[in-house]
Amino acid sequence: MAKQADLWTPALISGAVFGFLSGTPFVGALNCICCSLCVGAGVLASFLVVRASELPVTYGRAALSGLLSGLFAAAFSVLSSVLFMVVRGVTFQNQIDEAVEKASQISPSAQQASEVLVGLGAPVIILLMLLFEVCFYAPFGALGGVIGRAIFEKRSAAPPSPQTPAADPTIQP
Amino acid sequence: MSAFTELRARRLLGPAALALAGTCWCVAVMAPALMHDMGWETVAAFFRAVFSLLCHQDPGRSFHLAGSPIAVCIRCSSIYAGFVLGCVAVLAARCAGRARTAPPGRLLAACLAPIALEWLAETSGFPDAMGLARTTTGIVFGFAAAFYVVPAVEELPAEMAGELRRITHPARSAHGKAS
Repeated sequence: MAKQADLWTPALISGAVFGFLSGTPFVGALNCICCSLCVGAGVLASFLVVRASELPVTYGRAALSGLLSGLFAAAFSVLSSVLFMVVRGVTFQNQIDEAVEKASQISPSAQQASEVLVGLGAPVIILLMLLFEVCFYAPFGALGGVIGRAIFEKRSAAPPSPQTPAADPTIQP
Repeated sequence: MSAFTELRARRLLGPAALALAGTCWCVAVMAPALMHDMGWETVAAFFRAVFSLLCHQDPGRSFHLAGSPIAVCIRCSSIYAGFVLGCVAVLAARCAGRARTAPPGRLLAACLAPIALEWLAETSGFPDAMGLARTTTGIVFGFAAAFYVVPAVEELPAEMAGELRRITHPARSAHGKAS
């Protein structure tokens, strides 16, 4: 019996590593290069799954591992952001003011938006951060999983599952 | 509807849905610039803040619309546009009975290489003044990625169902498959 690799452990490892990096000051700025840390989480998860699997990993399975790693990365990113804020003694107000200063070069009403945000309070801001990070990290993680599968899987692909439309033999070109 | 037509429609659903989602994403990327023009400053600032999680948003390295920069840089927006074009190409190929599975993986790696090379060239002091290289390499990668992402997304529900079965009935699935 050849075994498919477990998805959860690789996703948790890569999500923890890249999520922590995303929330780390300065290093987290790497996400500004086409969301490279989210994509990187997916690539690492996919690499670990391909390495552990006895069967060729499909693109769908690689995407799922990337998606899971993106979800874990989002949670770890928010956790480490809050952790670093506490360690550095920075408040949300400082963070938002810093962002507003940058954004006001493009959008003069960034100040108004920041006032709305500050009024929400820390728990709501953390929840919003988590929500947006989940929305972005999950699809970009899945993309990373697909990229990782394309790079690291050298074995010939398993025949697609019969549930996928592409596999239907009755359809002729 | 005959089984043939139904299966054909199912094959077109994935790329069509992804093309639509990609188009919505591109509209969201362009929205802040248009909102700025319409005077919806606060909403525009909110959109920019959300996309700042993904991109550096340097105005000097972004496309401008109605005099304002869009929410992401040239490279990111080119990748997104290339992805939408790729989904449309997959859709067209599927209509012609092709592109049922992903191409060999090394092709995607090959399409990723120009972005890396262009980035290396730029950091080594060869400026891409017009953004032409960033646009081209971004579109090429986004276009190619669609040919891999579409089959992956189509396989995703079955994989999710399998994983859910493994969690809910660990003994029955025994965490393996016959080779």
